[in-house]
Parts: sequence; C-alpha cells; structure tokens
Amino acid sequence: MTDGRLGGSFRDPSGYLYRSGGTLYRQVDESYRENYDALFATGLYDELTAAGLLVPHAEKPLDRAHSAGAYRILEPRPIDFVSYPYEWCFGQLRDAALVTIEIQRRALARGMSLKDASAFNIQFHEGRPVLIDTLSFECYREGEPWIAYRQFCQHFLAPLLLASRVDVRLIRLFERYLDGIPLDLASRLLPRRTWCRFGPLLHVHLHARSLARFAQTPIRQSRLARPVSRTGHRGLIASLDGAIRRLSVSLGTTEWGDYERTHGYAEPDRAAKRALVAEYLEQVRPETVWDLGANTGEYSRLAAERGARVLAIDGDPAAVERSYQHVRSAGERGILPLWIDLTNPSPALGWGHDERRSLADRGPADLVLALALLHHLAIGNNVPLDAVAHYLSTLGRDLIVEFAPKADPQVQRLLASRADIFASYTPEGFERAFGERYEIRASVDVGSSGRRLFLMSRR
Amino acid sequence: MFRSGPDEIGRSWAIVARLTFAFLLASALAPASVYGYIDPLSGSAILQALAAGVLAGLFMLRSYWQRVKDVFRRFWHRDAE
Repeated sequence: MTDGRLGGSFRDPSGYLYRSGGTLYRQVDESYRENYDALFATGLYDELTAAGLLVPHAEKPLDRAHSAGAYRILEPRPIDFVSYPYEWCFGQLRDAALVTIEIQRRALARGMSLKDASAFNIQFHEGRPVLIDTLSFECYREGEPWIAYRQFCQHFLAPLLLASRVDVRLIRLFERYLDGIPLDLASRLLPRRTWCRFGPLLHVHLHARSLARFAQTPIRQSRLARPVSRTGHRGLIASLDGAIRRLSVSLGTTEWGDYERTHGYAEPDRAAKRALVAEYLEQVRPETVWDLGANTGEYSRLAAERGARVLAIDGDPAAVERSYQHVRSAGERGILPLWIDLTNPSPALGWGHDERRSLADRGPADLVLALALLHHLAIGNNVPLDAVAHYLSTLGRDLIVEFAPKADPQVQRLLASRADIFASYTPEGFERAFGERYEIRASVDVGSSGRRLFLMSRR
Repeated sequence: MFRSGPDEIGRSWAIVARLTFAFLLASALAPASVYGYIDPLSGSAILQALAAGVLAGLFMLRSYWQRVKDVFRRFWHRDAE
C-alpha cells in the first residue's frame, strides 16, 4: 500500500488517516482538541477499549505529522482486513448496529456523544465488530438533538429492516448508497405493515417525511426544533436498540442451505479431502487465507485452526449468515465470513474511485482455497479456465484448488439444463490453463468421481 | 370586474397573519447551534424534538418497570431461601 493520505479520509475536519513508512496513522486536528481531551478525561476511552468496543491506539510524537495543524498523532491498532457493509450478512450488520448503540449509550453516560454513526466506521476484528474512528466523539450538550440520528437510521436501521422484511439481498444497496439507504427509498420499499410498528414508523417512515418536509428549513428558523432532554436522548437510543433487536432473517433453504447433504461426498471421501487439505495447509503454513466459495466455513476452520487469518467468502447470503453465527457462538477469532460474488466482486467506489477499495486491491492473500468452486465458475458462469487461473493468481500466492471432471454428479447437475459447450473443460485443459500461471506442486485424487485436489504456487 | 371582496380580503389577512407568525417563530428561542461536519438536516432534529417527549416517557416507563421486576425478583429469592 502506498504512503500518503488515505483516499477515503477527507470528510471529517477533525482529522484524517494517512500511511507513512507502511504504518497507518491518524492525525488529530487542533480543532478537535477539546473533544479529544474529553474522551480521556471522562474515562470513555478506557471504558470502550477495555470492553473491546473501540480500537485502541498509541500516541506518537508530532514530528510524524503529515501536515500542519496537528494536535496529536495516533497509531491505531491495525485491523486485519477492511471489509464494507455491502459485504456483510444480516447478522454482521445487526451486530455492528448494536455495537454502535452500545457505544452511544456509554458515551452519553459520560457526557459525550457520537457525532457520526456510519457503518463504515465499524470493522471486524477477531470475529467481533469494533469502532475504528476514534474521532467520532464530541462533548454532549444538553438539549441538542443527536446529530448522527439520520446517519444511524440510514446506515443501520433501514438496511436491516429491508433485509428482514423484504429481502436479505437488499443489503447490497449499500454499494450504491455509500451514506446508507436514503430513508425515502427505504420507506417506499418497506411493506405497509411496517407502518404499524412504532420503531419503523418513527425512525424510517416519519423520519423520511420530516426530512422531505423540512429540507429547505434552516434549523434556527423553526420553533419546532425544541430542545431534546437527556432522557429523551436515552429514550431514542433505547427505541432504536429495541427496533433492531426485534429483527431477524429466516435462513430458509437457499441453494446452498442444503449443501452439506447434497454435495456428493460420501463420508469417508470427505474425511480424506479434509485430511489432504490439512496436509497441504501444513506444507504452506499461510498467514492469510482466502477461502473462496467457503459455504459454511468447514475448510476455513481447518486453516484458522492452523493459525491463519481467514476470509470465508461466499456468494450465498444464507451460507455467510450460518458461517457468521458459528463464528459468534463459538467465539472464533480467525475467520471473517463475507458475502461476495466472485463473478462480480466488490469494485472500487466513492469519490475518485478511491474511497472503498476493490476486493483484489485489499489482497493478496498468502493462500487461496478454491474447493468445489471451479465448475461453478467455468460451467455455471462460462468463465474460461485460463481467465479463472489468471484472476485467482491475482488474489493469492499459493492455491489449493479442486478440479471435478464432467462425470462428477455436481458438474452433471450444472450441465443438466444447458448445452455442453465446454470442450476444454477436461483434466488436461485444466492443467494446461493453470500450468501457465502456477507451478503444480502436488495433486491427489479424492472421492470416487474422479475429483483431484491440487496444491499450486504462483510462478 | 372589480375583484375586491371578502375572498380577496381574507387572503390578504391570511398572508399577513402567516408573515407575523413566521416572524414570531423566527425570533423565538432557538436551541444551541447544531453543527458538525455531516449535514444535520432540520427534519431529523425536528422529529427528535417532537418525539422526545414520547420516547422519554416510554424510556422511563421501561426503567420503572425494570426496577419493579428487579425488586420482585429479589423479594422472591429472599422468600425462597
């Protein structure tokens, strides 16, 4: 990653992120002095970092400042992998919302308040959501409304409501609306029965109408903008908290929900595959692993158990949800499940295409796992094998990949409803395509249908 | 024809009344300045102001009810010992 100011860090006059000598720093501007000092004086920093809700930092000498006007230079504890809300499953967004609420509750108790409630300020570290923007806090002034209320509703409540009451795939709207789902859009998309529940009615429907109604009204000119008491503030937080906790998604039976039962592996074959993957992992000893098509994370776990930090990527939101629920309930720290479609992965977004980075730009990993994936790309999505090889080689240095021939029942299922136009989809075609980009270090047959598991290293 | 009549007078008075009202509102006490780097948007602040009473009330009811339950629970446990 190049040194200099981070592309996405320019909206907040309180400070910004920059890289120097490969390390990430946060410059705190003089204008933020009072709030920064209060963060410590009130004991809020200690409370939040001890509870694992805020990312801790070390203060560095001012000679490392990036530009003039710096009050402090912070070196935050680094996050393993930066992910974005449009890559999260419902459970991840929900937990991020609840963490934000909890932080605001604790801040209020100590006389401070969040001045922004963006979902992009939450990152996952060791399996749990944490706030990364230390400069989000300001001193609370009694009577003032919560300035971050609209942002909270757009970034958290609206997408969670849409995911829960309409379709979980609507979380993807975040990719288009980087400041959260506009409330008027959410209001229009939500079913009419959401008007009957107090939370959605107030925080989305009426909120949307109020924003539209008073769009041209400067705040000072309206006597309607009466003071909001501290109790009113606490009531607002409690209401948002309750509204979110009441939401859930039914995992249903999506295509991959029943994967474990129908993926065509007999028990002994599966054990053999697991043992072989484990052996390959031990040969490579990767620190970072991207498990593509991870489903519920069975093989991600094999890598995490061996000390790797794993991204468990899958295109099915139900699979990612199951994977994440397992991570939370088992307290796993090495796995981050993400909802990404490999045939259309996260692009570079925002101002100058530089605020949110593409998937490939956030890599590469030491090792890529591509198990039971190839036929979905090559046959299910018509991607030529050499194109797959090329893309995978940009994502990681080493590769464990499984090739299933046309005779395999899974591949047969994909070919069942279409013409077989895949002349080069053969073991020889595969080895030729991948041999161009990779050096094949090992290959072993697994299962009774002719599948073969390869260990490769990028040339 | 000559268009002055009750309709016209009524409308003029309505305009005057509205302007007076607006002036009174504008000069009424406004809350402390709401500023920040993100656009606060008046609609958000107004909604909070209007709903604050209800939300505060609900919150206090919930806290009160929680306290009642806690007292009851402690009482019950003491009984059981």
